[in-house]
Amino acid sequence: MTLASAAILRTLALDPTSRGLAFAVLEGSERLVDWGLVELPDKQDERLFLTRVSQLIARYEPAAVAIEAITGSRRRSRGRDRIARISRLANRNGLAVHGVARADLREHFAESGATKWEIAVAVSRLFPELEAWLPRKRKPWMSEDERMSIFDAVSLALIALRRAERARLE
Amino acid sequence: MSPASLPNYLRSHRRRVGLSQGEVAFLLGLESGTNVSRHESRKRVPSLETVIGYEIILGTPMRELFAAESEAVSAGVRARAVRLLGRTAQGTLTPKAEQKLRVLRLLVAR
Repeated sequence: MTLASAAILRTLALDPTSRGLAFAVLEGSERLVDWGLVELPDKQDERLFLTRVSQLIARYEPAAVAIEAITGSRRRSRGRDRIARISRLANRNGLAVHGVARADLREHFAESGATKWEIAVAVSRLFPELEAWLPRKRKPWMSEDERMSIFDAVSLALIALRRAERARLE
Repeated sequence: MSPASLPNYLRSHRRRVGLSQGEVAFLLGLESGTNVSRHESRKRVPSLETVIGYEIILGTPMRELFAAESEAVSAGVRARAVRLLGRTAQGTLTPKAEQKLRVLRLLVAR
């Protein structure tokens, strides 16, 4: 893949969390450019949330944004609202928006297993630089580690890229 | 949105090798991680010595680390090679001129 075509497929995946959001940037399905967690000082500040999203879009200049599809999502209303806001902001910036359903994620990673943990392990095998970010498998009584959202974001981006590549070939 | 490469991939490669900005700064002989942060966010242009240092530390060629800059320089060189090619082709075709033409054609084709 040439640098230019890689850039055309640069995808920013965003996954709102309870404290802010997780993001991942991929160029093609094999190059993880960046990833991380953005923590908001005031987790209810919607304006700051959108500012952070805008900053990520400005920094990485993606061709597309990948988010979780709201339809069928088990998220609470704030999570859904934030996803909808990301979608509107991306549209205003002229970016393609890929909504990825949880079912698509499970289907994509069916060989590795269906749980979030198994998907995260599969993602860390694809991108060994993420191994240090993989939290320990949680026990049923433990709450989910924020870092799991990074793996969610990477898997959203992978599926969005697969869709874009498929659309390009058709 | 620009379809071009990112200005640089320093952060990406640094995180891949698992080094902090402070550690990279130490290896480069810079004062602090702030310098590395400024290079990554393109607020400061690194010196040639530092660029070579990045290539050594991150194990990645300079043209990949500074992809956009590299593409811009490459396009400029190619454009000037076309002009020089035209000028050289108009002159007498001595063996030396023919050698130059070969080199310039290779440059233009790259």
